[in-house]
Amino acid sequence: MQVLLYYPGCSIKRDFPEVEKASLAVLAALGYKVVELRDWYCCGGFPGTLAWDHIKYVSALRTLSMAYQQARELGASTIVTLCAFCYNTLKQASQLHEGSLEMYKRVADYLRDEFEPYRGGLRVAHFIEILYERVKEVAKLAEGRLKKIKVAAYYGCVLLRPKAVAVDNPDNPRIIEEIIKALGAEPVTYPYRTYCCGSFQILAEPSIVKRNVEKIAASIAGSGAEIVVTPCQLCLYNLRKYSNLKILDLSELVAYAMNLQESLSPEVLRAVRTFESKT
Amino acid sequence: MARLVLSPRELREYIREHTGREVTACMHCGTCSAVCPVVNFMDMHPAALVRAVQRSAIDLGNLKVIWACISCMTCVDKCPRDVAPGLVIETLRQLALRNGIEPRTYSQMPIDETTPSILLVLYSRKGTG
Repeated sequence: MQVLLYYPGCSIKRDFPEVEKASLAVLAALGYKVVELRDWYCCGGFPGTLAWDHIKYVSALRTLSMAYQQARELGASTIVTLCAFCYNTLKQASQLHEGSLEMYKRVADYLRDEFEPYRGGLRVAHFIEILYERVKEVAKLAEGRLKKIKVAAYYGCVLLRPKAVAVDNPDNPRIIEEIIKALGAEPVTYPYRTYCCGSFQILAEPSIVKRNVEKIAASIAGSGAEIVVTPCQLCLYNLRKYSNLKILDLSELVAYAMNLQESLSPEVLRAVRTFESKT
Repeated sequence: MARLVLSPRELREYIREHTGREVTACMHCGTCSAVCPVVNFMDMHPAALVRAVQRSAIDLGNLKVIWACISCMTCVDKCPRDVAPGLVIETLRQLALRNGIEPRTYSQMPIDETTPSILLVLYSRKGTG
């Protein structure tokens, strides 16, 4: 049985426990043994982008050092995240020793007293990458349960930018569409599927998020989709706040299609109940 | 708000030091402004900001573009000359914050117990230099 190390991050644990439940049920159904990191820190949300930003990598590299030690004990090679921001930050931190050596050295020196510095050896993966790799098994377990349903995939920006950490081609991603097809449903294509929803500006300048979500929602409405799925929980939060779209986390739709109803919250079950007469 | 006026030379050197990018390489194709998802909320679109940094002194206390940017990195990926306007904006934003220029403080945020912690983390990162 393949072991996956699991890094939850702050928001999954505190605000989106239903996403965690559905995702872990899906991974277990695919035959993975998912082991949560014994101890973990907040990833930091945004990795550093400037030359003086090395401090912003400290917590992410600390987590990777710890994860690497635990991965060796467990025989695991992949650390999986459910949150798009955790994925982005950890992935950029895991590439630091391949790129900016000066920055890596400063952070590693700072951490030397705590841990053996992380020097590669772990693969940071987002939940949807694991799903995509096992898309045939997903299709087998889903048994085409969602046939005739039109699903819009909304990617957001964090899983696709910057391109060094993108889970797929950032200009024309297909991963989620392939997963939707594996569920038996029909993916729709619309122009705004990778347009940024406005992110943290919902706190500082909500008009930005409102306007961007309206654009995305109008674009989805024109595509004829009956339901929207997204792999990013901040997109989920923003789109729910400013639109009437029926929107789920991708893991929840996959869990429903794979007949893992006991892992879903009553709200999700209510949202998907309209499908039952169709399928 | 406080004023912080920097000359084109100071700006250029500052940006080179902190991003490794060269603003004079910009050929004004406008790609960054075309792909920006928040360009409608900026007083100066990204390409115009790069132009301004090349040509004239800028008062960071009076610049809205640095507070609208969400660091989605689309312009950074798309820039054909590797100027990366998103990183130029990030540099100027951190410079402003470190000099006490701050349009909103954390305590003014509409935060309650339903606010996801990821938002608090992201805003803390973006609201501090």
